[in-house]
Amino acid sequence: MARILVVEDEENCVRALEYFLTLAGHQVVSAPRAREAIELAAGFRPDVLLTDLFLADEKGGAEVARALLTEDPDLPVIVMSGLPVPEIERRTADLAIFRVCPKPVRLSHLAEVIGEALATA
Amino acid sequence: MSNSGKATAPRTELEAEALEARREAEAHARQQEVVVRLGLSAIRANGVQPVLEEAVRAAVDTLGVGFAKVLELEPGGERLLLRAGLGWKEGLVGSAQVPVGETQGGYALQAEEPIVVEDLAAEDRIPRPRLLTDHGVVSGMTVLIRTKEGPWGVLGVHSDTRRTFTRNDVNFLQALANVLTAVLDRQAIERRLQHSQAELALKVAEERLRRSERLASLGTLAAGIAHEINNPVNTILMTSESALMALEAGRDGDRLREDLSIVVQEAERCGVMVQKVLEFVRDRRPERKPDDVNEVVRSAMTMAQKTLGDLPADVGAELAAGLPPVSLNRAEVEQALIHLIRNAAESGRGEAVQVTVRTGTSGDRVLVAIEDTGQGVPVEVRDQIFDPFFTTRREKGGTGLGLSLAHSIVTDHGGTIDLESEPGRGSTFLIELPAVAGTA
Repeated sequence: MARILVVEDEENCVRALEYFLTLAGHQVVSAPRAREAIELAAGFRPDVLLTDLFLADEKGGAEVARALLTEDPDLPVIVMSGLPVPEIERRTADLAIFRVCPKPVRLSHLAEVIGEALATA
Repeated sequence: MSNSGKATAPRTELEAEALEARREAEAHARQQEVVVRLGLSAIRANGVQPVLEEAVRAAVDTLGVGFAKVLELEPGGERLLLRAGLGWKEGLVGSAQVPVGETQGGYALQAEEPIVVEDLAAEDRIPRPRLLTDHGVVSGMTVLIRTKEGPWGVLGVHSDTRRTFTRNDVNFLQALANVLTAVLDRQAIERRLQHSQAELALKVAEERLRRSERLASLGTLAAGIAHEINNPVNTILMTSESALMALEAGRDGDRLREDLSIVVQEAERCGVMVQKVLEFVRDRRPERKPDDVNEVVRSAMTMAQKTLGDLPADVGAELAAGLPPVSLNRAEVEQALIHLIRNAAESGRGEAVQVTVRTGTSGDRVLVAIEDTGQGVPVEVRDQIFDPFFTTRREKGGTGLGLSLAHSIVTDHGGTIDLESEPGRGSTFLIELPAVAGTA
């Protein structure tokens, strides 16, 4: 049972994630934009950040990760994106990312990664 | 001056003093006039050399001396070059170099103050330089020319008969040198300006090249396609997995129905995206013919208007008459312009926006500017705005292919497209297309 902040602008993807993560016993809050995500994080204080890279505003998921890691350098950040892996790595090179999950990603795999993230935290 | 036509001898010492004072005042006024005149020609002059030459002439004429010179400190600071002069033997001006240590000029440079020599033969502050002894120089004075960047050189006058230089004479020579300083400082600023303009032009050209190479690369396109396909596939996968879970738990019949309709919807999205990618990469028809850009703009505007629906945008045109023809594929350039006009019309993000399409020429190129009064493009995304699949309007159905397509059509036509934008105040996309040779 953990607090998970989901930052994703694909509405249907968020729908599936929320269903699955809630069923797994987690508390989920989601935002489609970087700005909202950063604002929400201040009150929600997530245990894990699960973020996409391209979002609905000009700032991307990398900006959200940067902002949250500045506040809490130990926060496990899981990046999921449809971009090719080298491109994801290029865009997050300067950040301490826990794991990159290239889309399409299976929910069962995501559950394992979240488990590992919580174990290290 | 005198109405008797010959000089009258002064009667008393007082009168003699008064006469001397008046002579000096008159000479001073004349000198000031000469300085003002040099200042005026310096303002009009094109380059430094004519002003240096006029300064030595003014010094010779006004002070009644046989020689004048401008020496410039050479790089390294060891030697002085005779940049301009009057009275010297032929062939010296422009080529003669004197070691700094051996000259009055060198002394003036080091002392940083005017130096006046009444009798060179009796002078022990400095060695007797060849340039002066060869010309039988007896008296002289030298002042420093000091620019903002440091000592530049000296201005000097000399005579082959013994003479005294007054305080006014020294001030006069220094005033001429000050005019030269101003001219040299101005030249330095102009050079720096030209330099930075050239640097800027180079940077813009490099930026364009880098962008075109990146956009033309298969990797950029592939990354975009991957992103656009992987996202709906991901949603299909996650939705199906969660549907299976719901099924196993034997609950949520309504949710299952919704899951399936999402799967259908996202699978269709994949199909549409593949279609758009194929359209994007299909070979463009090479048929081009000389065409009137204004006409292409007019028809693109008409077509764009139809797609704008109830967007609060007012689209107008200011088209220049007499444009030279451009060899183009009309359907393609229209398509590029429609995307740019649409993009401009959406730039208000809900607020009313004025879009103006202008045409004009610059040398042998035809210009089309699409200006909007919208929100502007944030600095952090300027570099990506032409990337295929990059969009800030995904929620509103943007695919991120419009600007990329416009970019690729314009570059295919041998043109350039650039963005100027001020956040909150609007953007201008400027297209330059080559006019048909010999028509501009």
